[in-house]
Parts: sequence; C-alpha cells; structure tokens
Amino acid sequence: MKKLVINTFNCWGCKTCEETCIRCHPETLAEGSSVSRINVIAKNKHERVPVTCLQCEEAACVMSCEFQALSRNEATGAIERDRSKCTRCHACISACPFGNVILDKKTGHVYKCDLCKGDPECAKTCPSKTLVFE
Amino acid sequence: MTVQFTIDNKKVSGEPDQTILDVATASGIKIPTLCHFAAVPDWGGCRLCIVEITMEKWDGWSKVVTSCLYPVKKDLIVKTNSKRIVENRKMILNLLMARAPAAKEIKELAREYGLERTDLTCGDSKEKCIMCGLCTRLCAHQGTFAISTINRGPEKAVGTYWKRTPDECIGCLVCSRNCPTGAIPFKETHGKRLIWDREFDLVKCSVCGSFTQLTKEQAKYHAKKAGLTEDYFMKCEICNRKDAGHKFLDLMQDPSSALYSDWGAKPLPHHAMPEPTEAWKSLQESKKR
Repeated sequence: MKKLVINTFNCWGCKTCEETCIRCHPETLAEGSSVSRINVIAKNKHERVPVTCLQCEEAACVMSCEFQALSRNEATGAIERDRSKCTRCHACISACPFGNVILDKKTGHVYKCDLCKGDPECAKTCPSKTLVFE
Repeated sequence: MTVQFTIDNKKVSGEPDQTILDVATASGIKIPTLCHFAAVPDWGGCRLCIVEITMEKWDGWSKVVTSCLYPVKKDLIVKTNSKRIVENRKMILNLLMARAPAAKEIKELAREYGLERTDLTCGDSKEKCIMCGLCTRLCAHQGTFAISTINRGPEKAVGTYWKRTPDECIGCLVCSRNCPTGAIPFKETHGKRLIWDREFDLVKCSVCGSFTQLTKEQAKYHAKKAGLTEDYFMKCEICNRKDAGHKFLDLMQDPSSALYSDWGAKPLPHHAMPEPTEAWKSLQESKKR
C-alpha cells in the first residue's frame, strides 16, 4: 500500500501543499469551507515540517466517534469521514493527539486528510520533493 | 444474496437487511426526509419519506409505506412520486406547517409541493419542533440519554426528564446541530455554553488559553469512555499540531533516536535563507521611497 512520505529535511516552508489542498477538494469548497488538511509547522527559521493525518493504525479519532462516522477505506488505507453520519460533536478534534482533524469554525464541519481517494494532490505539487506518495 | 426490485421503473438491487431508502440513496434516487440520519436507527416519525409500493401479484392494489423502515423485497415495484404520494406529502407538510409555523425548512419544502401556507389552525406561532424525535435518538445513541419525548397527546414534546435541568447532558450540541428545523436553541459566549437551561464551561487550552470545542463535561465523558484522564483534552488542536510538528523535528535532528538511524538521516546543513540579490535590495529601497 502506498503511503504519503514526508521528507522533512527538504521542506522549504512554501505552503504550496496547503494551497493545493484547499483548492483540490471541490465538495468542501461547495460547502463554503476553505480549509487545508495539511499544515506546515515551522519551529524556527531553519526547521519546517508539513503535518497531516497519519492514518494511524489504532486511530484515536475512530475510537472517539460515537456515530461511526470515521472509518478506514481499505483501498487507499486512509481514514475517511462519512458526512452523512457525522453529527459535528467535535469529539474527534479533541481526540487526535496530533491535532490533525481540522475544524471549520463557520460551518461546524470537520475535515481530515483522506489521501484524495488514493492520489494525493499535495504530493503532485510539492516543489521540493518533501511530500512523496510511494 | 442481493434483492432485485425497481424504484420509479429503474432496476435496483440491495441486501436483504436494507430499507428502500438505503437502496434509493445508494442508487442516486432522491426521496425527501426530515427525521432520517444515517448514524442512528430510523424511526418513521416525520412520514415525509413515504413511497407507494405494489407487486404484480397484488392485482393493482398498492399501499403507502415509509421508505426509511420498509425492508427491500424481491420484485417490489416502488413509486416515489406518484399522484397519491405527492398528495400525501402535501398533506403531511400542511400538518407540519400548522404544528410548527416558525420552521423555515418546512415552509421551503411545502413550497416545492405547491403549498404556500397552511389552511389549518396553527399551534404556537414560535414553535419550530416537528416532533421527529431525531434529537432524542442521537442523544440515546451517544449514551448520554439527557433528553426524550415527554408527556402524551397534544402536550407531547421533546424535553428533559421531569423538565428539570439535565444532569446527564454534556453540552455536546449534537441535538441542536442536527435538528432539521433548528428547534433547539443554544448560546455560546466567552467560553460558556448554555443549552437546556444549563450552563457549561468550555475547556480552556492549557498552552494558548483559547477555548476548545469541548465542554468540561464532554471531556470528562470521553475520558471515562476511553480510560484516559481529563488532562488528555486540555490542549486545543492548534497547539497539539504545533507540538507534534516540533516533536517530529526534534526526533529527526536527534542522532540518538531510532527514527534518525532508521531513516539513515544525515545532519544536513540548515536551509538558511539565501542572501538578497541586488535587484531585490533595490526593489525594497524603491518601495520605501
């Protein structure tokens, strides 16, 4: 199964991945949300790393959801949110120890990386080969 | 073993444990609903999802059933917009408008069926609740059981046990956020949430001081369910993300960590910002002028 590999040492901190993520989710834009599911964290002038959902094997978000709205897509290996089951209780946001479940404060909806159904856009547009899907 | 049948003359198939609504949704056929929610069991409370069903051996006789509850059957013939169904849905919306005159969503749905206003005697003009019961089912599914239907007959309503402030409520807003007509009000200001006449404190992030999305009761509830302490929920997601990023970077730079050796990382020179070119410097100067 392919994984999204993050080569931290290459990261320029340009945030192209964030912009790509916002624009490559038409269903999210249609809802009026422009959130990025990947975020570049800069520790200081020299160290940067893009942080996104780690698709944990024993995911805290999946275990916290009372309504079974988060589940693994066996084909892509990613944990996906079923919008028709999500009640927007925000338990998953607080459950993720890495803060990778994103909240859109305007609509109350939550978003998380679903590996773009198996073909992540951020890996295609990363100029420094930090994000690689292999 | 799949069950083959038709909806609006379109051949569809489903599993034996599915309802007509499940199969219609999966096949892209739209049936209007109000009290249906995928995560909780269906109840048939609003009656808006009614469809007309018949079978060849019924000799032209048909009946009206709620598609959210009726299980699929081999060779069933389903009509979602027959004349009888449209008339029935119009009456249902008429009744709902009379019961909940303040519900905008009902008025919009009624307009789609050609009904501008109700000719029946209206109830309380500020009422939005259509008694679909979705809020009570969501609260029950979560395991909190703070609200239910109370009283009988015309007095029947959704409320808390004995109309007192609910001790079981954790202030999660699931009932309010998912009500089809927005009938459950709540107020949220300055880290306090008010719902069902009870005030909740939102958890304050121990690092940045901003308020998280959880109330203290929610944190307690989830901590108990997961076997954790409440400290787990004391950081907001932005601080969690920042700390995760910093931790990864520390691990990658630490020569003694397993991560460092696993990845065969070498201490690469830091990416320093390049020196500004002459063209850049003169551009900055011209901007200042």
